[in-house]
Amino acid sequence: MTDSEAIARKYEKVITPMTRTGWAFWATAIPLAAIFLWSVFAFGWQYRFGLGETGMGHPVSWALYLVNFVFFIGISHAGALVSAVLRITHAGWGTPFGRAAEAVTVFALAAGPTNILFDLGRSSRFYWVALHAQFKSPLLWDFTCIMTYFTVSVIFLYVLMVPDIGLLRDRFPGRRWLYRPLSLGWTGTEKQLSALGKAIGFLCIAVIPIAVSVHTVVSWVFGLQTQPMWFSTIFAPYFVVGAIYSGIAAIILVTIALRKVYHLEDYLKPYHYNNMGLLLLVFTLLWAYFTFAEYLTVGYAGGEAEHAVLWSKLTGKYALLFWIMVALCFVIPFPILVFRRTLPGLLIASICIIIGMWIERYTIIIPSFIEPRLPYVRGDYMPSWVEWSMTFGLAAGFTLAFVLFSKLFPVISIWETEKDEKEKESKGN
Amino acid sequence: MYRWGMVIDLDRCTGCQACVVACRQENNVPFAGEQEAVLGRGKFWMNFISEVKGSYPDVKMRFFPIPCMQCDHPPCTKVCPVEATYKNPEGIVAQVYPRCIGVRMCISNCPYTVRYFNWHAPAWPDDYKRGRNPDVYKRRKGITEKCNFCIQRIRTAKWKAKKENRRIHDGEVIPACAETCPSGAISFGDLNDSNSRVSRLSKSRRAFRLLEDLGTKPKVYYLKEGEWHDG
Amino acid sequence: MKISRRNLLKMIGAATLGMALPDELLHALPKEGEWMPYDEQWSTGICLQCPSGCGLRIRSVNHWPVKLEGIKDYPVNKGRLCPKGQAGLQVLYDPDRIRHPLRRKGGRGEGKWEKISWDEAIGLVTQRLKTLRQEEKPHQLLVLGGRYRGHMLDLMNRFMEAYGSPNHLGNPYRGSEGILKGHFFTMGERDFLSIHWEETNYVLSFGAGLLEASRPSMINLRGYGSLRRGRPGIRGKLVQVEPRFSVTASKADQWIPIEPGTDGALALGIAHWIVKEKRYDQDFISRHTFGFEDWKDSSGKNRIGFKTLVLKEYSPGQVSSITGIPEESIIRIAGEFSSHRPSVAVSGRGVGMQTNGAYSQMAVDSLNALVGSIDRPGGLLLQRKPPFQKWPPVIKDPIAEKGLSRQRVDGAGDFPFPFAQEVPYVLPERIGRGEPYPIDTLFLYYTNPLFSIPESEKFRATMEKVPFIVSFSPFMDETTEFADLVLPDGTYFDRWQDDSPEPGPGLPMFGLRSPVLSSPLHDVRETGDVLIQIAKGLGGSMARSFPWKDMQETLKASIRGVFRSKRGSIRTKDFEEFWKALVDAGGWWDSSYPFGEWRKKFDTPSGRFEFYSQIMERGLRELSKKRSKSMESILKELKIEATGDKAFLPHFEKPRLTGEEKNYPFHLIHYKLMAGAEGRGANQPFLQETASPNLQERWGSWIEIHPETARTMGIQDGDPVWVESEVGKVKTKARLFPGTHPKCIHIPYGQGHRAYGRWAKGRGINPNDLMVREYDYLGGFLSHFSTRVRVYKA
Ligand SMILES: Nc1nc2c(c(=O)[nH]1)N[C@H]1C(S)=C(S)[C@@H](COP(=O)(O)OP(=O)(O)OC[C@H]3O[C@@H](n4cnc5c(=O)[nH]c(N)nc54)[C@H](O)[C@@H]3O)O[C@H]1N2
Ligand SMILES: Nc1nc2c(c(=O)[nH]1)N[C@H]1C(S)=C(S)[C@@H](COP(=O)(O)OP(=O)(O)OC[C@H]3O[C@@H](n4cnc5c(=O)[nH]c(N)nc54)[C@H](O)[C@@H]3O)O[C@H]1N2
Ligand code: SF4
Ligand code: SF4
Ligand code: SF4
Ligand code: SF4
Ligand code: SF4
Ligand SMILES: [Mo]
Repeated sequence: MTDSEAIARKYEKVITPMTRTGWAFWATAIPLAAIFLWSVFAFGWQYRFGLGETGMGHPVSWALYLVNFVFFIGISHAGALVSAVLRITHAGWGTPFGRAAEAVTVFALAAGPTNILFDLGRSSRFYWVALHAQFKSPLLWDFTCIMTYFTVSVIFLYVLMVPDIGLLRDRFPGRRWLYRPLSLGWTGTEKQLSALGKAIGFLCIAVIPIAVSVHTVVSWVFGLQTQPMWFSTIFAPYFVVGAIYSGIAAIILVTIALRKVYHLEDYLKPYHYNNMGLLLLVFTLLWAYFTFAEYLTVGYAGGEAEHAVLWSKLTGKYALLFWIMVALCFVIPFPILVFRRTLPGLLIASICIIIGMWIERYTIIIPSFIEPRLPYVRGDYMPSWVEWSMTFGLAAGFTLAFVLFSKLFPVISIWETEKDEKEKESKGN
Repeated sequence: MYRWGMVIDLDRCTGCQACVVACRQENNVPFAGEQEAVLGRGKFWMNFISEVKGSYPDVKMRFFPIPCMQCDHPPCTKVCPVEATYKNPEGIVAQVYPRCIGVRMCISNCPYTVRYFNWHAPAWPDDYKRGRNPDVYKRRKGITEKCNFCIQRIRTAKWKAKKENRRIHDGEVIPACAETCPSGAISFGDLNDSNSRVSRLSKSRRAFRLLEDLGTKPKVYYLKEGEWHDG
Repeated sequence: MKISRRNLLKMIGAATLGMALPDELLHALPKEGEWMPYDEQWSTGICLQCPSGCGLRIRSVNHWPVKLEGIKDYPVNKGRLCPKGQAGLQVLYDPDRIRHPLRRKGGRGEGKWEKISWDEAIGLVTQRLKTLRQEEKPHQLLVLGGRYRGHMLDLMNRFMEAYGSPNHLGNPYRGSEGILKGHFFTMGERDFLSIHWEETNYVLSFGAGLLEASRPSMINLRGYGSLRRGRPGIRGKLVQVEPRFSVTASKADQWIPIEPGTDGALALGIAHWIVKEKRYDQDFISRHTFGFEDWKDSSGKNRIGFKTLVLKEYSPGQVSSITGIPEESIIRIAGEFSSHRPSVAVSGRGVGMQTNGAYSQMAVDSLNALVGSIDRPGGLLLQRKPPFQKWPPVIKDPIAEKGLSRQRVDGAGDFPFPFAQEVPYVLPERIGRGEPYPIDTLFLYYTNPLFSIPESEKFRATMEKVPFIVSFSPFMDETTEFADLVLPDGTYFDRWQDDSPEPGPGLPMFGLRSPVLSSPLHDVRETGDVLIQIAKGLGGSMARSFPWKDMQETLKASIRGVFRSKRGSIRTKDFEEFWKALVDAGGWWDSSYPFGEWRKKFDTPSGRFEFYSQIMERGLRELSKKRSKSMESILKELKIEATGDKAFLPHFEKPRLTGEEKNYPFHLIHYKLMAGAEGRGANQPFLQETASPNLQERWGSWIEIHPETARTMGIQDGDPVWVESEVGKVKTKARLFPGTHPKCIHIPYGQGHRAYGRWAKGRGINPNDLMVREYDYLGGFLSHFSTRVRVYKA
């Protein structure tokens, strides 16, 4: 094993961001923090005066918070799930994405369920869900699955970081207070390595069904309800595919940003992105397939209530949003992913997909409320400043968390990259 | 065991909405005010919905007073994560206000859209506060509420019947909406008692229930409008 | 919402605090679900949100009323209440009620008041009236009254008589006089008549808002239920004739859209067929009517009868071209109406309150005569009166006699309004010109002309000319805002008052209001008591005319007669017992209605139902003598087109409209909503928040416009629009409603207050800001449906 000094020099680019904090950092962090704090205020406002400070009402009783909830949980699928799949399939090209993906998972999982807290009429009683649990409610399944996923994701991120933390402990005496306890006395012995390997193997297998289950039950929060166009058998896989789809786009976006800001071109190479692009293409097609299947079924065999919602999306009030979504989730990314899996191409595609998938959640949730089953009760919805504040606040908080993370931990797994290289070398020999 | 049910005769109903106002006064449902009402935040345990079709002079208008259907298979109760709403042994889908944390999944899963949320703290001008019914639980902001068949009136009637050691007679419990209905369109009573007015009417050929195909088994029946026959 | 910096800071503070505090501290005690023992009482009262006067059972908890129900066996409502009735406690508890007497401080209408004591307030009025009498000008006291109930009208009449002023404009029927005039000309009847719903098979309604407004609201609402499902095996038919697709039209078995103002013609067309086919009630016609066949008068001249007139001028073909209703429909209705007896024809303000209103109402009444549906089961009920004890005669001193002999300030009963009881609409011009004499003091009781009368701005200008204005209203309405002194009455929960529904269920009955609280909620006094006090303060013949201590005693004096009659629902040995039982029951009624007392009830020269109105003829003949003008020219001056005998028979006159069709293409129709209570309902949030059935609108105003018409004008649903007539314009939102006649627009009445408390003020529009003053001179009332308007996008 090479000594830490050598590795540190070799991976200088990965480690530098943790040591140098320039104006760019502050220019990013301060506005993000400000937005985040504003959203905390907005929450306080809402908590004091009631959910009436949102744009919700009757019959649109769930809105932006639920959109954000589904959206962030979707993003979270990037991480653990993708990286686990890549690991299990020994797709070595995935290594540089792993750390970022796992971190995205954890932060997105923190952001997602927070929306439910916002959405509670009595937020301070959120823990009653545990106290008075009624297991018939899909919300409870959600609660359970998300909590499990969150725990496993944190462990996953952490366990895969332990060797790197061990390295950092030795490199940064000033931050020992942080790294030392976290490193769990990692020194890189064979025994430790094999234990780590086993743990990773186990976590990789465990995280996949958990992740799938999470978005499955998230879909069921809607799919098991009587609202027109929610009540659908393919909601679970549709949501899972959508989640992974947006998750991959998120990883691409995040890593391209990191690559640019922290000059990680050596590690994140175009060929990596080409592969990611192909993966994204697969999900573009899957998403389009599910969407088509879903809308065709409703259009072909749906009842009156379903049709009312369908047409409000295709040609009515929500047509603009709906077709923007189709453009952003399919029409634009598809040709890019087929013909130009370059970095700029992927960047554009990912941004489109992320925005598109947010709109997808919006157009799944809101129109069904606007056109409820009884064809008499009608409503309208426009998010209020509070909801927008909290939406942007969450996005800011999420980004800020990631920025801070990148200041404390290497965003590319050093020990795994090293390991991959060794393996390659030994294979080459 | 009683099984409370309601029958609303649309042939009699005049759309006057006395039921709507009576329910609000009886159950301390505050008014929302103009701004809130525009957002659909008015709480109408007894709501009134209508639909106009056609063009002059071939116009048709239909309307319904619509309380909670007190479904026998209520989609709203099973989705509540904290069991703040449940079907009681007499078939009333009741709301446990102190338990409710306001996730509103019950609201989104009520196909009849008859559950209402306290978007803000209930606002009573001071002068009106004296006019509130002391038999009805107070509600606070952030929780859900709905028609409960005037459960307080049922309770009172039960106490009385118990004291006199008898069952409640047909027509003894009258919810506020039924009591006031000028045209006598609303009947209320025990569906388990085959002689009660509601049992008889619910078996009428004119009887139907809203969204019957959902399998929610409402205990509110409607009687459809009749036709005038010459001769 | 306007947010000042200070408020913003407060709100930020509150928000921050909100986060820090647990829910419990934010929500005051008692906690949820906590049950406190309480005291419950039930008492009675009478609703006065509309003229129906339903019996109230009032549930009070710890003295405070908390819920209203109907009195179970009260003949009007039989235990039921309409939405206005249910919202009644918001009248009692209205936070903007006037809480004590007020004297104006700033300029008129500025809204600056000072609180004064009752003694001082009553002293001020008494002094003023005393001076006026000393100056021998008692006729310069003008009283504008409105919703008098029971003996309150008699009390005010008595006050005016003893005081010596002929200027009491206190017709409680204001707004529906057209219907009354029709009844008066044909039957000599001065009351509204209700339908005997229990037994009727066929109701032909000419624009009566049976399910939205109408008199008597509650009897009609209940009646509709019993028409439909009240009798096993019989389901009556309701036909609604109306240009507007109303709730009543939507619930009717058949809706007959009609050209506005032409209902009289339709009624006569129906009559034509019935007469032609000899489907009328020959027995009733021959025994109880006058003027059906051609007749000879005392001078032996041949006169035309109803039969000849309708046969000649109102064939279905002729009527169809006037009304726009297909001949087949007219014939079918005529067939059904005459063969499904008992059938009955009724009307609403849209028919009666037109320039041709009196004649149209006569035509509708004629239909009832044709099928013999008056004072018969299933027909119209003629209101019987309770056996009240008459008060001792008024004592009038010479000053009073002289004052009373003066001409009325509004000229009612004289040209050009020979049959009018009162014409408040002309006051702006009359008082403005000081004609026939100036007015010194104005009393306002239970009416709000600055809101409810067209061209109210003119009225306001007039009021400037009146030196002293006293309002008795419990609410700061538009007119009260303009007063110099306010002596607040209580609400209908706060007074002793008997109440006769208008119309009632036919049988003799009355209700009794009694104060629901042991002491009034605020420092207010019922106007009856105040009047008696003023009279006593004036001394002399005035004081002697009011020998009673207060209103309660006054009522007892009348009701003693009912007690003595020993009939009806309450029979006791002594009067105190009777009184107690009466207060408990909320009223007295005698359930036996004696059908068929035509001889006794038709108060016409012939003692019969008069197709040919001799009352009208005599009145006009007198007028022609007085003005020494020929009958022909009198008719012309009253803007009646018909000449000769036709003028005294029900016939169709072309409605007069104001505004050229070219410039003002739309006919303005305004209507009442079930959850509106004239100008009085707007201060009740529960009513404001009740949806209009057709458009689900709440808390405001709108105009209804035909979707096609709107499209051609580029107006979309919800667009802000201006509505403009020759006399005014208002801005509101347009709602496309397919039930609108392409050449009409509809505006619901009740909003557009410039005062009347926080929930009413500044909300919506008032059709009276658009309406012109046009009259049915013969009937002596304002036509409410003669205004043309234009609409354009704002
Ligand atoms: N809910 C409620 N009930 C009330 C009142 C109230 O304020 N609210 N007020 C009470 C009082 S004081 C009165 S006077 C009565 C009035 O009761 P109604 O006379 O029954 O009702 P309005 O709405 O005043 O009358 C206007 C109606 O006439 C129709 N109309 C207009 N033009 C024509 C026409 O040319 N031909 C026909 N056939 N119809 C026409 C309009 O569509 C409208 O429905 O209601 C009493 N009852
Ligand atoms: N455009 C249009 N104009 C109309 C109508 C219409 O349909 N359209 N309807 C017409 C009809 S039918 C009528 S009857 C008239 C009614 O018109 P008004 O005679 O003006 O009667 P309201 O509008 O009922 O208001 C009466 C006033 O009485 C006062 N008041 C309320 N409660 C009490 C009380 O307990 N005691 C006393 N002393 N005063 C009280 C209030 O200040 C209120 O302003 O309006 C007519 N005007
Ligand atoms: S009170 Fe009766 S008639 Fe009026 S809307 Fe309700 S059910 Fe219909
Ligand atoms: S109507 Fe709605 S709230 Fe009522 S029981 Fe059924 S699902 Fe529940
Ligand atoms: S709003 Fe209340 S009753 Fe409804 S699901 Fe949530 S906790 Fe349960
Ligand atoms: S039964 Fe009671 S709670 Fe339900 S709508 Fe009627 S009045 Fe309201
Ligand atoms: S009909 Fe008139 S009197 Fe009767 S409850 Fe309604 S508003 Fe009151
Ligand atoms: Mo009226």
